[in-house]
Amino acid sequence: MIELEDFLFFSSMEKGKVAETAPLLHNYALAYAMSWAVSPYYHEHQAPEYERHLQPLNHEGIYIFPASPVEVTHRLMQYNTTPEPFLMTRAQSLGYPNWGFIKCIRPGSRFETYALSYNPLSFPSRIRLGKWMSQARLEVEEVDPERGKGKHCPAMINVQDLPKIPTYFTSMYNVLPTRLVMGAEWENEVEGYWVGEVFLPEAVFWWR
Amino acid sequence: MITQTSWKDSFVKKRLEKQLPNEIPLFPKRQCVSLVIVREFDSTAVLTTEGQTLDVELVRCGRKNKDLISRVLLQKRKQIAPERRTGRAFNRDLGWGEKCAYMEQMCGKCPDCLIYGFAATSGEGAQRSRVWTDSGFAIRSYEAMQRSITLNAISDTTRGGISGSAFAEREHIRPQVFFPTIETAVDVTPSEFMYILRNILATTRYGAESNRQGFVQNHVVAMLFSRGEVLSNLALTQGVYDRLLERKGENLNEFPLERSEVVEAVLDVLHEEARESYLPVEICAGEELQALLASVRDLWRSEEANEEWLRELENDHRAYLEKLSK
Ligand SMILES: [Zn+2]
Repeated sequence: MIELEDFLFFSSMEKGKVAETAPLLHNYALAYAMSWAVSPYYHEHQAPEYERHLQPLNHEGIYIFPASPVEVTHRLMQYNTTPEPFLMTRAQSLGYPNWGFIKCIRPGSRFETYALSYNPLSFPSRIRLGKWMSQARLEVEEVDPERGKGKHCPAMINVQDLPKIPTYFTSMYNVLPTRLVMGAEWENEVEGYWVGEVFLPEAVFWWR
Repeated sequence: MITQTSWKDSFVKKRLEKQLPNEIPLFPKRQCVSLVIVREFDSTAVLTTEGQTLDVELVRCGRKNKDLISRVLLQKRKQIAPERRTGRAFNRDLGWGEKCAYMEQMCGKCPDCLIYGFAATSGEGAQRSRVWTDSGFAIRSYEAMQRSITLNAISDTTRGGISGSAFAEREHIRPQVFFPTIETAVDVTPSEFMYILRNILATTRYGAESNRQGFVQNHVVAMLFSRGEVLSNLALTQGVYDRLLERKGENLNEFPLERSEVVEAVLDVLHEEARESYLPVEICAGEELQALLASVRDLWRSEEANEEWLRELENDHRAYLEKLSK
């Protein structure tokens, strides 16, 4: 369980003067936030290297799914002509308008996710997320997933990470760096894990 | 007796060295020193994102009291931007980063760029910030503050200031509003930490129209040494609210708060968090903190010690830039 304690923003879509934040947390961002994957303080090229940074986690048998919204509310914020640090990178690379709106997620919003690991895994009690490095609180519960097969996954999953692409899904989020889907269904059963009533497909960072 | 003040032998440097790295690491090590600051607004302030109304957000009162209340917000960029400006003015005095234009053409070499982060304008290069903050939340509800505004309205009208209309009242917060906030410096060297501390202590104006109002006193009430973050501003404010409600009951919303009771409640919350934390958290407060701040004061008042500190800051950054270019 991840609860926001500040406003969260990452740009998932731009509609005119509004930059929106999708109600999800990308699993690559989570792997960095947990400090399982590390990137240097200085980036010479502003292109991230997910594959290289996440590969070691696959070797250790660690995986985290994207986080699905449990209770998420948005708030619209206006920004004006004053250049703001948080918009810097985008502003310059994409010719961001000098005023507009940001639809961010409000503090108190909650998400839920699952992490898989062969060995006991350590979680920080607080992480930082999104463009504004917003703080969030974690609540971790240990569960014993059962290996098994399934056809339907209610949770948010990352198509890039799946050995078998789902046939259907109820919603798709076109976010960076890879698109995520929710309510996935497969024609034939796929390998995965059961956590209580929830089926999670087998997944590995950057499978495709 | 004349005692020679030096940066190298100062109490503050010795304390910081125990926790902080002596060179800037290329990768995060999560060596954290958090400054717990009670920001006290001494005059009216305009805290709006845009437009006429105060920036407020609906959140839970406390961690025990789960009722919802509207709290006035001090957005994180409203805290950091003025502090960076203070630092950049200081840099210009020293002849550092003269070609560095905030947000437009950042040099990537001055203390401001290297500590608070930058992204190059023309193409390549970005440094992540090593100073982490959150939005600040006022302790009491916006409605409770509104009530004290009505009490103060008479003196304002006689001063010929705000007319007392509901519209104008909403734009400002009144004196003696407290924002408990934490700024966490991550993987900074002792000399860099001093730069951040200087920016916080030397910044006195926050919010819009800050040349006329928004006078803020930043009271450093504790320093936390840890390998991760201990709590957020929202959690801190909520913990403070719970304690003040226990002590004052319904009176909490009637009269302006006293700084001393806010500080006491903040320290209670920090000690409780430290007790519950899995990883060790050292709290520097009370006498130890006073001694540390006294040492900071001596340092900045001594020309030699000040130069010594700045030379080290320059060296730390030169060494880091050399590491990067390899
Ligand atoms: Zn610079």
